[in-house]
Formats: sequence, C-alpha cells, structure tokens
Amino acid sequence: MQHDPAAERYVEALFDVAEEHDELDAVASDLQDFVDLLEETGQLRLFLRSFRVPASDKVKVFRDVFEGKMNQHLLNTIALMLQHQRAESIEEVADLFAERVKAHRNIVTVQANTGTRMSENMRGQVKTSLEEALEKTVELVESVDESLQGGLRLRIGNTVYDGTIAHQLEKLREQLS
Amino acid sequence: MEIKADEITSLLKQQIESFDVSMDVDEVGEVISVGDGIARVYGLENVMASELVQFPNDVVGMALNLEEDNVGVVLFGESRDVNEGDVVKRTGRVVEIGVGESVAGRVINPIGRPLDGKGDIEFTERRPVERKAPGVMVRQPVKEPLMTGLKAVDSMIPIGRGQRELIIGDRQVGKTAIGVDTIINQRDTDVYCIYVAIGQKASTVAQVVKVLEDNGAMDYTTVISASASEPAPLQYLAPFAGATLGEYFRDNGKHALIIYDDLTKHAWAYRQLSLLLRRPPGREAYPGDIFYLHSRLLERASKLEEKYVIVPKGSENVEDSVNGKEYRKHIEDSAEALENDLEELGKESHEVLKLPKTGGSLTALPIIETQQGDVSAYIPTNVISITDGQIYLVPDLFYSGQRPAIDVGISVSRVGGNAQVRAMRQVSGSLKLDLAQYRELESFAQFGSDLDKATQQQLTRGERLYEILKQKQYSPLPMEKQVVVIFAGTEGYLDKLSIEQVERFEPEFLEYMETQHADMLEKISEEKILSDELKEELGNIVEHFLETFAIEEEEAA
Repeated sequence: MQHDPAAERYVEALFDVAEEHDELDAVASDLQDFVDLLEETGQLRLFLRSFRVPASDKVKVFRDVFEGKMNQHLLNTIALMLQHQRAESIEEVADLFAERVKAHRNIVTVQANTGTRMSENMRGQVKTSLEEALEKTVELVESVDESLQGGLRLRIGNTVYDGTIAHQLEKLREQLS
Repeated sequence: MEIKADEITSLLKQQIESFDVSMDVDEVGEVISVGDGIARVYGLENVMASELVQFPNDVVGMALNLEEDNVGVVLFGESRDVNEGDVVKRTGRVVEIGVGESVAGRVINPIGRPLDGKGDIEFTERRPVERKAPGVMVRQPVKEPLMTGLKAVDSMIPIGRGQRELIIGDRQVGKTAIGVDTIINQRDTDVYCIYVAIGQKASTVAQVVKVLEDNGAMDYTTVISASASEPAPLQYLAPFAGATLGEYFRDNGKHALIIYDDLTKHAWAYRQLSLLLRRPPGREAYPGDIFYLHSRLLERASKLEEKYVIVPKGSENVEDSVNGKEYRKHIEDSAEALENDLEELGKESHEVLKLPKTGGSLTALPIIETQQGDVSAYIPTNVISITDGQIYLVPDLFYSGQRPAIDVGISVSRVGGNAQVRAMRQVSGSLKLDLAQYRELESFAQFGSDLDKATQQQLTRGERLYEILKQKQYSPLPMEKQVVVIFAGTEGYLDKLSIEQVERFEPEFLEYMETQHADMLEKISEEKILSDELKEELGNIVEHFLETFAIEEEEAA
C-alpha cells in the first residue's frame, strides 16, 4: 500500500549497515521477532507508541530490556526511531525490510491460487518453470480456492496470469452471449 | 424444429472447440477505499487516463486521476457493489460507445446499453467517447442552413449546419421546446438527431420520447439519457457519448444535429466528480478545467470540407478519377483549378463527383439553464463564449404570451447569416431593426397618447411583427411558409388589421396559400430566392387574401 517515506529511509539505512556487516539474516529475523513480540504484548506497544512518554524514557527502557538480546545495529536503529517518536512505523519498517532483502537476493513472491491442492511434483514444476521464465528465485505462496474449480492462477506483483477453469467458463459465457 | 436444435448444437460445439484456452494476463490493482461513486485503487501501474477498468459484480469504472501512489476511478455502477480489497482489472481500452445507423429510434444510456426494452443494438463499430475535434484544414465555414421550423429563429437567428448555437434561459421558459421542435422539423431532411438528456427526471425524458414518437421524429432520432438518479460519472459521460455518435454520421458525410439538455447539469456532475476526486475547486467550486471540458465537447461540432474529383461522364465511381487530384470548392484556388482542369479535359466527356464521406456536419444546440436570468454566472458565460451565438429566452415574454419567448435584442447567431436561405434574408432583413425600434418606443409610448404618425406607425408595425413571431409548440413550419408569413408582416400588409385579426391571419392565410397558390409555395421552396416578379405576385396574393379576409371578418361580426 502507500508507504511512509520516513520508513523507507530507515529501511534503506538499516539495510546498508546490515549488508556491510553481512548480518542481513540476523537483522531480518530479529526484526520479525521484535514485531511479533509487539503484536503479542500490547502493553509494550502502547508504551512505545504513546506520545505522553518522553522519548528518552522509551529509549532507556528499550535498551535496558533488549540490550544484548538482538542485533546491535537493529537495536540502534530502533532506539533511533524511538528517539524520534516514530514507533508506529516499526511494523512498516519490518515489512519493507523483508521486501528489500528479497529484492536483494533476487527472490520474487508469487501467489498461486489453485482449485485443488497442488501435488509436490506439480509444485516443483510450477516453481522451476517460473524461475526459468523470471530468472529469479521464486517463493510460492499457495492458497486453495474451490470456486476456481481447477487450473492455476498466478499473481506476480500487479500482474495476474489466469488459467483457471472458472475464468475460462466466464470467458466462454461472454463469447456465447 | 429438430433440425434446428441439431444445428444449434453443432454451432455450439464448433464455438466451444475453437475456444481459446490460453492463459490470460491481466494487470490488476486493489481497491483501497470506495464511496460516493469513486474508488481509490492501488496498483494498476500502467493504466491509461480515462481507461475502462473492470470491478467484480459487473461494475465498470473509468480511471480519471492517475496519482503517484493510487488511481482515482469513477464508477459507472453502484458503489455498494464494490468493496475494499476487491481486485480491479485493466481492460486496455479507453471508454467507448457503439455507433452506427441502427441506433436511430432508440433510447440508450451513455455506455450504449438500450433503455427502451427493444432488444440489443447491432453497432457498426465502437469508438472512444473522448475524441479529438477535427483540425482547421479539414473544416469549412458554415454554409448550409439547418432549419428549426421556428419563424423567430429562422428569420433572425439563423442556424447553419455545423454551428453551435446556445439555447439559454431560466427554467420553464421553453428551452427544451426549441430543441424538440428543431428535431421534429428535420423529419423530411437528411439530418440525424441526437437528444442527450443529462440529469433530468426520467419522466421528463419519457415525455420527450413520447412527443418525438407522436410526431414521427423517433425514426431518425437517438435519445441518450443519464437521468438524475444515474451516478454522476454517467451524467458526465453522456454528452461525450452523444458527440461520438454524432461524429459517426459527420465522418460518413452525413448530417447530424445534437441537443445537449442541459450543460448546467453536466457541469454539476463534473463538479461533483472533481470534488470527490479531491481536485482543487475554483470559481463557484467548479474545477479549473470546466471551460476546457465544455470547449472540447462543443468543438467537436463542425462542418467538414467537401472534396471533389473529376471522372469520365456517367461514372458513378470516384475511383475512376482521371487525374487523381482532389479539389476543394470552398477554397478559391482549388475551385479555380477544378474549373480549369474540367475545361481542359472536356466538359462534355467529364463530370465532377463529390467524394463520399466528405462534407458531413454536426450541429450542436447546447442548453444552459440560468438562475433568475443571471447570464454572468460561471457556466453560462463560459458556454456563451464557446458557442457561435445564443438564443436567449426570457420569462417576461413567456408569461405575456410571446412564445417562443426569444429576446430578440440579445439573441444572435454569429455565423448562421451565411447559411440563411436567400428568400428568408430578403423578407426578414428589416425585421430585427423594426423590432428593436418598437421595443425602444414601447416603454416610452406608455406615458403619452399624442404620438406623431411615424411613431404610431412603428408601434403598430412592431406589435404585429411580434404577433406573427408567435408559434405553437410542435408545429414547425417549412421555409416557404415562414417566408410568406413574414413577408406579409414586414411589408406592412398586416398594419391595417387588429391584433386579434393578426392572430387569426396566419393559419387562414397559410391554408389559402396551400389550396389556391401551392405553385407559389413550391416556387419559393425551389428557387430559395424572391425575384422582383415573385415579390410583386406574392404582394398581390396577400392583398387579395386580405380582401376576402376582411369580408369574412364583417360576416363574423
């Protein structure tokens, strides 16, 4: 959706630092863990987000709790964000960072909707042919939708490749009417 | 019957067999927010301006606002059928409408779907709704008349084919009536008519359709309706759809007349859209491009040039052109060249043929409704400045019984004069001046009774002229009849009659002309000019009629 330009800046900076120190995986997983934690403990989130709490207190508490428990560079980034009262952008930073890492590693996410569950064999076939066509590593996100009746629908970014039975039937209906 | 069922089955089989089962590639986006007939869509990165996009539940929309992080889409259907998160598909086509001659006699909505329950329409082709107006070189000045059948208009505010003449006035003063009368008057001509109803009550549109049907005018008329209950985007689209339809006729060398009823409501619809799309408001909260919108629309009305070729005598085919040259008669050099080349090739063995699909025209009669006669509001001034003249209707005249209630003083036709029939110009030459003088004297004459003879004379004349300009609704008159009636008025034959007699004069005189002097009417309609002899003869006829008319009067008394 629409990104906060500030979040993009933090991501870019964090990514550069992490790459320099070859810590991309560590930062990515720690960041995801931290966001999960925020999700679970509402109080922590409220505390970090509240504008009534002075920024310095937030930074202090945060450092006390997480010092040594997460990647140092990530810790510094989040502390910096708290200092600037930007706690509400943390989730977005996490999403963008994950995306950024994927783009860096030439990984593309493809959503695959099928009418019935794909067999292991088929999944492999779809994946390899997609990888050949896109010249990128493909990460398949599958979902089964029975209303499609059969066939396969792929969504890569904003482009949909529709080869489902439901779509063919719809087209046939249009042609015959 | 059995055979037929078989045939159908095999046909279906064929179609299914040849059905293309390849994968389809679509570009999609997702609805972020929806409401008030507007959807904001994320994605659709390569969408074109005014491209048609497809929502679920058979709702379509038009992409109007292309912004950095989202696309503003106006919906042509109900916004309650669209939900946040719905997938929106590009169609790759800009908004189009089907055109063709088969639309004559139909009532359709702005995207070409029939509203009259008479079944599907077979269109010849589809054309984008928003098209560029023809350029300078393919046009020619207005030169053929488009008769409205109204004495007051055809005599003083003549309209030519390809002209844009504004009909402006308060509510309930007969604006639509002028448009409808003009359509009815095109019955035995080669002009196709399009009536675009924008934001009107559906019952009013139904009434207009009924009137047109009763007068046999629906055969050559298409009604495009986006009534008040329709979403604003459809109302915004309606006049453009009408113009596209009219252009189909124009581009095929035919003539068309389009009435936009009315552009005030069109401006409202566009204002609503623009404000909902968060475009900045300007004067009267209209968006900055409202002038561009209307000028773009009205500029599409035009008279296209005619092209001619020289072919061997007897040939009907323009492909047989002897020298491959195309001539334009309205350009002096080209007309001269045509004359010379024809001379050279031999006039006996060759002739001039008009190229098909050239010389078509689209005449536009936009209607604007003013509030309490305020012509200096934003939209009226805009449209006045775009059009080639205006017919201004005023309530005062309307309620005093002067109908059509045209204010002759400020109604003008800036280009129609060239197109006016000669005979009409001859009889109505002094009309405008006489009426102007009458109006000037009228107010001042109310103070005293001791007026000199010339003034008295002018007052009588003016009163009688106003009387003959009155005309009933749905009864347009052919040119020759208008000419003889106005002739009687401007030549002063009616000065001797009382006002009540003048009112009775017209129908009886026309009946007399039809029964006793049909040849005279025919002559005027054919020659389109009043020679001195014809004038004298006509004068005698009027005088003779007035003698019998006066006698009848005495008998009646």
